[in-house]
Amino acid sequence: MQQVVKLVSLLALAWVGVLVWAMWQIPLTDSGLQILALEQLANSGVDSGVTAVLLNYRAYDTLLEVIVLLAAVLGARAAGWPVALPLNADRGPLLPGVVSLLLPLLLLSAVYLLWLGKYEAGGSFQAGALLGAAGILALLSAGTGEWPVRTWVVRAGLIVGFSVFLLIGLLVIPITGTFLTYPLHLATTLIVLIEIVLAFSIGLALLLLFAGEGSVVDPP
Amino acid sequence: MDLSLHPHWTVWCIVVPLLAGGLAVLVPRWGKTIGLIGAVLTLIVVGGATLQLLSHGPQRIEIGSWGAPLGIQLQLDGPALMMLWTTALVSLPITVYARDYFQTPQQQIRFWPLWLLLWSTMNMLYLSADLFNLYITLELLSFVSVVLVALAGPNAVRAAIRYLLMNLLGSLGFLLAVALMYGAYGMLDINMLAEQVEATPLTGLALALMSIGLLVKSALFPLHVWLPPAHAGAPAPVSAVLSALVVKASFYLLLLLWLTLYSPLVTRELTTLVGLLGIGAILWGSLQALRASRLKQLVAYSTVAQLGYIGLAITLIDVAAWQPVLTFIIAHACAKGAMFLAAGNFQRAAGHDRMALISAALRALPVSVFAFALAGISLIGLPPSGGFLAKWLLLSAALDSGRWLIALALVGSGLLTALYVFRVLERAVRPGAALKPVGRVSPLMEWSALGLGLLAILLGFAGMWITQILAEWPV
Amino acid sequence: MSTVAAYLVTGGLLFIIGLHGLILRRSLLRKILALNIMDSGVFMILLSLAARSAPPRSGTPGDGINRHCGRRQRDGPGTGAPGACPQPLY
Repeated sequence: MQQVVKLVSLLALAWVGVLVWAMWQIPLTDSGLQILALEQLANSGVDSGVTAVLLNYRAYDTLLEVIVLLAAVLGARAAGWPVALPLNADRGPLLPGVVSLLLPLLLLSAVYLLWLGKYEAGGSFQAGALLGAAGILALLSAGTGEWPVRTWVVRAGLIVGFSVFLLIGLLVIPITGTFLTYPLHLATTLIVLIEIVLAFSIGLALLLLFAGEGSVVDPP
Repeated sequence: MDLSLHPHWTVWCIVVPLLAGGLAVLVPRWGKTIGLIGAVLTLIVVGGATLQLLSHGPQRIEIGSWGAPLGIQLQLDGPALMMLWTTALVSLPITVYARDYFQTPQQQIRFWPLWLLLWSTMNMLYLSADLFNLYITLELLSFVSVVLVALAGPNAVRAAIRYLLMNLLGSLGFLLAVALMYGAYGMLDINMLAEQVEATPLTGLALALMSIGLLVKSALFPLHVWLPPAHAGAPAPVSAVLSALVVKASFYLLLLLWLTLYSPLVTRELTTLVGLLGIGAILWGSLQALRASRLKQLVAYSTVAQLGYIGLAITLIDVAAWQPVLTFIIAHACAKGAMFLAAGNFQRAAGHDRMALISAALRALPVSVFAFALAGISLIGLPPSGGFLAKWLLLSAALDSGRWLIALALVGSGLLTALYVFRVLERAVRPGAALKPVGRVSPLMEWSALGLGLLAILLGFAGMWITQILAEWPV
Repeated sequence: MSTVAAYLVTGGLLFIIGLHGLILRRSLLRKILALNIMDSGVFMILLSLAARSAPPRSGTPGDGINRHCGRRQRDGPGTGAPGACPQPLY
């Protein structure tokens, strides 16, 4: 084992040399793509370069990334995740008060981040993370293992993000002739719509990953 | 209306299984039906893509109509079409098989969305022409595969995690290489990059990282260690699709990148190295298959050995390009799919897959034995099977270019394959007591295995089409 | 050594550190952490690649150029000449 450690360390050292050298080789000049992205910004429907890349220029990549998250949820339940959290009954007087203060704040921040995505760094992934956090907080402080909605609603919420994204991508084909090409005058509306449903689904997916509530996605 | 003019068949090849997968999440109860309908529809849209290629030739399909450096493009050409067809033809019998294989409703519910997602992901990979997009498809592919392995239950979790770690390592190597390429050339579109790539050391490093990453995912010896436990431990239909298709997808990508993007850098030395690894794979895989104490392990090690042939075929890309490799991929996909489905039947009937006690199950399931034998014939490379066609193409390319060592390895390895195939078949004719069946094997499970086995043989007659498609619509 | 090059090299080093951990650590949790470090390394490289061609910024520090461009285009179509994002008025 000692020899293996030494060998691996030695190899790693050699790799360090190679990679550092490679990094030096990368030209530090303009790649051009960024300028192109900004040039087309007026045709993208949003004002933030990042959002334009994520939801317009390379929307297909984002669609796939959302599916990765869906696969993660499907995978977590398939891997025999322990069902439900040990929810404790002993919650104390402080918890409900703090949570009732925090939850609206979290939701408000999520909505703000979502809206910000049109102009600056922000958007569905950030908002989704906050929504997920809000959900986890609510779940932990609720004290019961019961979900307030039916399981099919949860499943629908899980897939609504990528389904709406995909369907919009398909529905614009008769108008613009290309998959995922939004018509210019509708681009902003469609992107905002997609961002909203994505944020919802991402938040729900994160919540389900945390809660490990197999029986919701996976009815007995 | 001229259907071939409809320009979106390529997009549908990705979208149809994806939509079906989403539907299967929403309505788990109808998973079986959605799976089967989705499979048939996917086959139909692949047919549409064929029409599209036949009438218009190779095409780039824009997504979001931003054009190449800014947006993402799909690419439909001969090799991609062949992979689409292989995937569809192998996946359809596996879909039918899976309907009866998974017994508990819970397994059914978990299997179908992931299965359709996997199919869609493979199609995405074949069609993508963008390096970063390819990375995401690779990531999604290994991720879904790992989860499917884990469906086999707690015993498979260890194998699944090893599979996950190795595959993530491969993905990250690929991603680092994508970053280097983007850093060096400032673009991600394969076709545009191919025009710009120069043989610089930086590009060489990217080539090395990408190749190692993809070879890890393709399980070429000695990077195969994750394959036998994962493929042997997974549920039978999952084993079949992993061995038949998923490892081939990364080989296809390797070949695509070597033949287009990195063609100035791919030297004889590099391909020879891969060829030597291939010979190592054939020897080691066959040896382990001969020693394996469990049937599915034997079939999994046979995959390790057969992947070695693809390594050998890669040494010939300078003279024969796509044809031998793709023919081999298709032939092996059908044969190995049939073999794993048949092995799953024996395992189901006997309740285990220990070689020492399997002969009663073999005697009880003659149709599956026949399927296994047909697949074996193709693996060994006896005429008129698809395996024979592939080996014949390889052999003639090797002899034409005077590479005797490869020719010798090809002939010799057929013998090794025969040994481990007969190690199984011999058990079907041993006398012994009748089987007390542990689980039920439905006729559909037997016939879908046989269907794939027949396909493996019939491929031997499809050589002309393969040659024609690749000759007329190269990348 | 420019800042961008420093970040590029650091990204490369993070990748190696993660790789080292992934191969040598026995515990699954550590392996996953190591993978995360490798991930971070690649992301750092990608970010520095983007930073190397950052368009010249104007206005207050931290005030992204995109935002200026965007607001301008929303205000009036006349100034929306893409790429040539005009100097902000404020």
